[in-house]
Amino acid sequence: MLLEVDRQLAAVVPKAELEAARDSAWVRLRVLEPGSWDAVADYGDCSGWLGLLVVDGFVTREMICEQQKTIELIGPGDLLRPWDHDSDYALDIIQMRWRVLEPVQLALLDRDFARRIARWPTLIAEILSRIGRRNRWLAVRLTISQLSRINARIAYFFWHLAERWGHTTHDGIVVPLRLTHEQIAELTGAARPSVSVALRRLREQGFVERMPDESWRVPLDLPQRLEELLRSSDDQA
Amino acid sequence: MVRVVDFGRACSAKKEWQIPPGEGILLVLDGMLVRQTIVDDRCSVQLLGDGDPMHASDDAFSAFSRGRCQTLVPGRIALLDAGFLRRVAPWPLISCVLAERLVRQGRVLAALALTSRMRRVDDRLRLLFAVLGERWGRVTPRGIQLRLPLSHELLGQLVGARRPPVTVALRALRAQGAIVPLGQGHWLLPGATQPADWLMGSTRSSAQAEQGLRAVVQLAGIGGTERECVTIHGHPGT
Repeated sequence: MLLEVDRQLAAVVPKAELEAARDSAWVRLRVLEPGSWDAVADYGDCSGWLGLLVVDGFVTREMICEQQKTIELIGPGDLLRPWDHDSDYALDIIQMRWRVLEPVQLALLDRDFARRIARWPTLIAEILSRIGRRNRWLAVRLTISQLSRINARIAYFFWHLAERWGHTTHDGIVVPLRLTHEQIAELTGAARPSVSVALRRLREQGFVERMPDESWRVPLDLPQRLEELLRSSDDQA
Repeated sequence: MVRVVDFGRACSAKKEWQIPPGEGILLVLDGMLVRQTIVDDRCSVQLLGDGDPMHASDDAFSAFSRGRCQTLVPGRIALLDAGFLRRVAPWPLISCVLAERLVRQGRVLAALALTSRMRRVDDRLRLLFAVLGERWGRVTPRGIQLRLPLSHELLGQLVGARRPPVTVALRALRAQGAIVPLGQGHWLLPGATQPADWLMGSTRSSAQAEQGLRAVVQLAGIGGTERECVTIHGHPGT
């Protein structure tokens, strides 16, 4: 079942063993509706589990301290392990908030699941790589948020989303996320008014487009257009 | 039983690390690697040391960002390939420990993300030294030693600042006695045995900034349950 919804996992299992792996890799699923989510209350004590795999939907993990906030965007293919550290924080200093943006389907990779798939080490390796990949995306976003030119920062951010979760269509790459200007500001380390100005300019230049359902679309030739943007001189920090 | 590969100054053994994607994981046994993530003209870095898992396929990560791995301190890396994972299959907790360590890397990254939003570069550096002290510091009678070759440029990449302000901030921290250079890029965090104590003791900022530092201390797990600081008794200057 899991291997049917997550094709990348299925791809690492030898074809001759795929049917047996599919039968063993059944999982319990949990659906989360949009709104705040207390991940620690639900899954604060799950040591021995491999993790919670996001099958569908998007969730954010906010770390708030005084007036500083950082947000991590988590979506399909990402592995969560809220029990590893979220409960360590003293809530009077740091507030951890999980928020479901789009309905989320979680696969619960518990101890029994880990035992059942132990015959396929490549599956374990692929599941572990999801955490490593999430770290790499976090590093990429950290680097993007250091770019001094705000237009380039926002454009790279959308490319980053398109690479990670975009669906390619004839008219461009659709990023299936209804992010507000404020959320984009938090995710890029920019001030909201600057983001609104930058988005207006990027829309006018055809770098990004808001869809009727409030998701976003970027052009297929965004990489080439970024070269133009980086050469332009009107982009200020 | 695993295959172990040495990595030298030039990462010359890197081709030997290659494990096809999804077929294993690498584990740094000793030494230290710097993993850079480059977008346009900016670069952020992660330090990977003993016990850190990493993936061999990191370099081909994204179309617009480049990954690069460089040696900071020569050491060894273990190749936990599919054969290894199959042999340890009866003990699924081993995989869980690897997962925990990967999450720990994410935790430090998140702390650095919050740090890079601090206005003052000296505050960022204080926090960074505390994070590094927690993970790789050696407690001596003089304080916590960081025996890592940390250039000003590398420190800047770690805290999201350019080299010149880092040099200025380091000079200020030295003048305050908060840090003592030991040569070869090594540093001493004087008068403390716990990075968190050093951090709070070295802070000369506003109450609000202090509160911010305390928060990042917790975020990075400094002084928490994951203490890994090595204590060396009676060897001043080691």
